[in-house]
Amino acid sequence: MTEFLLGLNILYEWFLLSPVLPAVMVLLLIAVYILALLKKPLNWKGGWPLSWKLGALLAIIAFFGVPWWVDSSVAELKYLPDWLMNIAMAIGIGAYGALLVWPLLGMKRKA
Amino acid sequence: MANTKTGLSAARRKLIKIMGASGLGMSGLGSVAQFASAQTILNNNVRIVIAGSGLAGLAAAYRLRKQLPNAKITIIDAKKEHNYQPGYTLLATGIWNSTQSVRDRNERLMPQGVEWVQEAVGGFEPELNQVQTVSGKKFDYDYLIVATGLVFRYNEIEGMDIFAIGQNGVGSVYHSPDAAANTWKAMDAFRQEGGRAVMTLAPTFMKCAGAPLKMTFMVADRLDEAGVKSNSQVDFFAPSTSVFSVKTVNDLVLDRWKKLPVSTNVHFHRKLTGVDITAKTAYFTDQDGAVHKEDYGFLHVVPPMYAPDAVDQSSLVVADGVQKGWLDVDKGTLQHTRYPNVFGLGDINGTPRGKTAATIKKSAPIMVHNLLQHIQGKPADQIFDGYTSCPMLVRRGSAWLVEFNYAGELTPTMPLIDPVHDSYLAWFLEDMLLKPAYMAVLKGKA
Repeated sequence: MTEFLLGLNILYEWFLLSPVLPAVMVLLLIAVYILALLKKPLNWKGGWPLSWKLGALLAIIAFFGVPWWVDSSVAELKYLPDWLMNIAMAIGIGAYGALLVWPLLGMKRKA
Repeated sequence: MANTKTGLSAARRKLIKIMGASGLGMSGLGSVAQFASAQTILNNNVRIVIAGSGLAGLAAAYRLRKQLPNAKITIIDAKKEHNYQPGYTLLATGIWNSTQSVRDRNERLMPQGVEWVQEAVGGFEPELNQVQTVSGKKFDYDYLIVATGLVFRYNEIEGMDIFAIGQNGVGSVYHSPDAAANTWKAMDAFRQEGGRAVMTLAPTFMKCAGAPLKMTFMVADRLDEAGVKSNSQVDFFAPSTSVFSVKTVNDLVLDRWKKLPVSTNVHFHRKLTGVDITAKTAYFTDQDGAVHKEDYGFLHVVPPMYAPDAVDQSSLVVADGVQKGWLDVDKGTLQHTRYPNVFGLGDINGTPRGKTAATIKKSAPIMVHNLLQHIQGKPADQIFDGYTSCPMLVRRGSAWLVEFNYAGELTPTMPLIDPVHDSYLAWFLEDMLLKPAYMAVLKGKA
């Protein structure tokens, strides 16, 4: 529990140190969903297949891009914890991308 | 014993006893009124002085502010700028490129309700429970936390000029953000042509003792990266017979240095005692007093480190032995061995092993707990095991997450982590998450 709270506090401090990117990401997500709710009815089901594919593509880009972004590279993934962390981050970024485009694609594919 | 030393009045001792009886972390609701009353009185009367506003001093202040909301807490330190020192090696090796990443203002970081006296501590009178500033102002305390950090004595290296850091191949990661950034300028200029890098260690106790090793790994990596490894070499000069106090890490580092792409040699019993900056020559003295001249293209200077004069010239320090001149605290409880109302935190403590920001993460809660115990008349019952962490940069993009304790045992805290395995995860933590973690520790949240 202590380590979990520490993790949350670290995330909070990270947000305070670099608030722009996470704030833009959260606001963008909120804005897209508000827009989607105003535009209903939406074809959520129809928008999903392309959403997750785009999310998967983003995850692949993130898998290679995040190490580069922090002055490292995929070649430096030397053992299991490295791989697990990079995969987890890539999945997280991909999931965010999928959630972001899902309502937009749903709007375009109205039933 | 404690009260005799602290010189508390009988009335105050009584109140503290009441407080102790009711308990700071009390669970019994029956004595809420008494507790509230005692707490208010106690908190209004307890005066805590914290000498130092670095990570240790602020971390202690945040925790005490939370747990003793009405206590009079005073921080004494002249330093207006707060520096994120773990970032210095990233600046000095060109990973980070702005000193703004490591600069902050103490004014912004001070906990609310804490008085900040913007003067340097001039002296301690623990017999009188008094701290004096350099201008002669005196502050009485009931409890004192010494968190002054340490001082660098570059002037013990003949010919060394801190204003030359960044010029003529001279680097030094420790001095300041600007010195760290200028160290990268010197290293970057050096690696364009290659040559001989001369790396050093301090002959004294050191803060962040891994930094000189990181610099060594990184200079070799930067030379390799620049394609000049064939005409380059790295020479590491150590005053003793080791490069790191934890034997496992020491042996692994030495083994790894043999395999670096740039020829890397280690010379023991060599203390940096002089430098001719214009001639790019360093002078090392061996154990017999003989002086050895070494030419360099890049020199990394690690200055001797000591307790500040105010501490060193007080009766708070260890009088003899290897810890002579450092704060005389019990290494487990962090309570002073002769003045029980005095506690120590961070670099100033005369305890085994070098200290880093991670030391404060583990030791600040323990020290504050033990201080609260003491306020309640109870024995200090939490023991600090000497936990320290050092993310050892081994090349650009990879690091070791070395964690160890007083006993020199490796003590990894994260599951699956091998502390001496080249790791992207450790690099990511150092580059991206260590500063937020530092801020969480500073604010008493970690």
